[in-house]
Amino acid sequence: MLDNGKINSRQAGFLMFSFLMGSAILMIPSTVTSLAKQDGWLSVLIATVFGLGIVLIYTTLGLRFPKQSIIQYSEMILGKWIGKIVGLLYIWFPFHLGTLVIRNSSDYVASTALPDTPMIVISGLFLAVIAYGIRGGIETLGRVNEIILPFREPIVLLIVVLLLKDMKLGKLAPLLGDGVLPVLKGSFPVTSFPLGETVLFTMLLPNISNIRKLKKAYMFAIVLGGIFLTLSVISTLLVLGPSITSRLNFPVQSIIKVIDIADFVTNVDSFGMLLWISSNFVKIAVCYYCTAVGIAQWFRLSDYRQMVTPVGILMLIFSMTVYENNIEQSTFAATIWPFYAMPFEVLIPLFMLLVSIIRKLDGRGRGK
Amino acid sequence: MKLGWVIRLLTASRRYKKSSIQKRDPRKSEPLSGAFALDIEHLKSIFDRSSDIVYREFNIGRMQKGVLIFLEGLVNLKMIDEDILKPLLEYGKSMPQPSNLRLKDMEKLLQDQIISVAQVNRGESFQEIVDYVLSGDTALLIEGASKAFFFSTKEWEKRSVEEPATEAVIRGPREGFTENLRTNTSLIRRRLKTPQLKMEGLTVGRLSKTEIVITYLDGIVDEAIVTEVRERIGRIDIDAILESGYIEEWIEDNPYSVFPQVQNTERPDKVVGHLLEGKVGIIIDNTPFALIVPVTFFDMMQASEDYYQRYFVSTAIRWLRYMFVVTALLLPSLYIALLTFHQEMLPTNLLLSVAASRETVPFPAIVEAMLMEVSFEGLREAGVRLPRPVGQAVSIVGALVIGQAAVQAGLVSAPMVIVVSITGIASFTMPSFSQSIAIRLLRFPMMVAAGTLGIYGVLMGTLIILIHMTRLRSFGVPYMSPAAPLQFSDLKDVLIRMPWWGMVERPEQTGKKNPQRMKNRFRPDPPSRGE
Repeated sequence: MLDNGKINSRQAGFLMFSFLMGSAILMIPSTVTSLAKQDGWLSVLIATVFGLGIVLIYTTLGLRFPKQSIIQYSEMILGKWIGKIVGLLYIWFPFHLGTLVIRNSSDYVASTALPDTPMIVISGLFLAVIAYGIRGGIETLGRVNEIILPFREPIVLLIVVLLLKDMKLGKLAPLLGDGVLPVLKGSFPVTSFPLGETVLFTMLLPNISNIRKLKKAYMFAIVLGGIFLTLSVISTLLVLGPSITSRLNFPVQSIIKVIDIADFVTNVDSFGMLLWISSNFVKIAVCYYCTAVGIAQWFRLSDYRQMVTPVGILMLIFSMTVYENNIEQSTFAATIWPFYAMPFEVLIPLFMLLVSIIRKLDGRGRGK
Repeated sequence: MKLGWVIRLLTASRRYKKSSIQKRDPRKSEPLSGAFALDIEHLKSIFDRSSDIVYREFNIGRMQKGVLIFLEGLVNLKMIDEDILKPLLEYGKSMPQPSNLRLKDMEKLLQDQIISVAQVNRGESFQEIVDYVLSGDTALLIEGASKAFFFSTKEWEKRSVEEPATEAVIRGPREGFTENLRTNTSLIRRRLKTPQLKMEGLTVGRLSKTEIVITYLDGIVDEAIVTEVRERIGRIDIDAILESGYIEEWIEDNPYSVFPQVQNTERPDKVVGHLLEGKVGIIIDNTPFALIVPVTFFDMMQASEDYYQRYFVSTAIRWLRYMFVVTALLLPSLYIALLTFHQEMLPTNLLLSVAASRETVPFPAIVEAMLMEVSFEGLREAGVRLPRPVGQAVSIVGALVIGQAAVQAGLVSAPMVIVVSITGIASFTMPSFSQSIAIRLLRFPMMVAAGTLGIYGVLMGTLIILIHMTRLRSFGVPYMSPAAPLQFSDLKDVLIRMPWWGMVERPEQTGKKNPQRMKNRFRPDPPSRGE
């Protein structure tokens, strides 16, 4: 095994929850409302159910080979050559996802807090910090997340509570005014971003100490993540209404700006940035970690740590060039990403699961 | 790891010299020859130019010579007179003459009939004589014998048990450790009257031969930790140990961390409290500071008084401390970040008053804060180092010059003075000095991060510190446990201070072997109303 660190299922579930909170929570409201209008929150709920299905697929597959990661058992299931290609795909996917999230966070930081700072400084520093965490292994990530999470989420809830007085229930009407179809359409991008992206967590399987509780922990994380995502959509809708929400890049940032307590606590969107960046930390870290470990497994290296710096530099460069501007990014996230990510998230794991069942492959009995 | 490499580079050139420093004196390991005069000559040549060594020669009976060797100042002279010399001389008088005592009889006689000292040892080499004499024993050599006898006559000047200077309490025992190892072990023994309390002795230091005691509660402690402590101390190769800090730096898990991974304390009750949680204490001769391992971040946040005060109060005080740790680390950097990058977050009125007070200040916020923080640290250090009467003057000058004059001269803004003083106070709320100094040190890079990247820089700095802390271990125990990895039941002594009747189990990380503190939970009930 490349990383000897162990985390328990609860830590893995926490990681998944933070992963879901990263990047998506800020953009989902506009993506979803542009498709489903005022019923966007229903789309997220439906997507959560789809998300549970996806989790079921890849955990069932992963638990058949509890000592291996997807890059390793793909070779067993699909044969050496096809397996290697699939492995390569699962190195590419987290790498790509990670760069998108980095670019996304840097865009956000630049627009809210540091307008004059070059983006390469923001992304570079962030990646350097994450690389330091990655070198500590999954154990470190699990623990850092465990410390941050209990601080972050209560504040998120507090923000929702503080916004209560600015919310108008009427903005959600008419419920299902355009029928069910837009709602289903809206649920599609949410399913792939962020819920389906959790497919990366199959990479963590060999590092989990009490693997029996894993499926439960992952399911729980998806449900909780779905609830928080719904909450973000509902609160933006209630405060801003569907038409404004769908036109903004970061609608959640705009509603945090609305917060005003006795003229004393105002313009706290920079603090909102802290919350969001701290969950992005987990998301990027998981992607980064999966890439580094994946490359090491693919090449059968003895240690993934030597891959950390090169992968980081590549991610930095790629994040600078991956798209031109915010508009391109939000279009990509809303229209192309769902179709692009679906094979990674559903089709390949499902296919591999079927093949492994048909071929009666099972890694549980063996010691390796 | 980079830092480690640099340090290794710096120390590499010295490594070769080390081995030549202490060559073993070949004369010392020789056995006694048995020729009385020769042996004494030899001893005198080993101990030449040592004015505090006393050779008291005498005769037993008519013919047989003897000599007592001891170090003046390390022995109880009265004891030597009364219990060793006098009986020997008296015995000589009553002896039938002129026959010499034979060695075999001698041993028996000395121990059984003549000498009235509790502890008697025998040895055959010069090395042993040297060691015993230097540690305060009295050596007896007798003509015709190739053996030396050692009588335990240790006694030297020592400080009495006083209130610990660095860990004062309002409620709780006022005894502190002293520089005397045996006093310290007795202070612990008095609190735990059980043979389960073990005190393993070790000697470290080529020249200092410092005695070290590893203490733990057998049956509660995890044996693996004790073995690890023993091994790590055994690896130490140094000329002298002058303070427990030497040991600390040799045995910590990560030598390139600002955070202390070994706890030091002057309080015996604190050591005992930790022993009961399955930890290991290390007591070192010649210093009042004992070490405790393994230790977590949260252990360092707990004062022993927390367990003596009412638990509501202790819980509140713990929260106060957590708040102030964050303040000590982040307040100046957040202030800098707000002033430099995020002025919009300040409420308008506050912003106006801050801006007005900063109008005359010629520096950017980061420079202003650095100036103030550095001078505050300077004042603090001066206060510790200066003789007490002068220290008073320094604090007056500091308060007047920095608090008042600097503001009036327009060099520093008043809000900055407030921020710096709150930070200063906050850093002193931490019970462990070594931890508070680590936090104070980290404040400076955080301020630089805030000055260059605003709140984003502060977040990045905090993340680095968090990652570093979760990666740390102290003797295998994760530094941030029980928060990360989360051990929910152990939060009873971290988030709150559970009342004693609720602390049924020892902490998971160290007390796993024998988790029950008490048989079952007994909660005192108020008497029923019918009475």
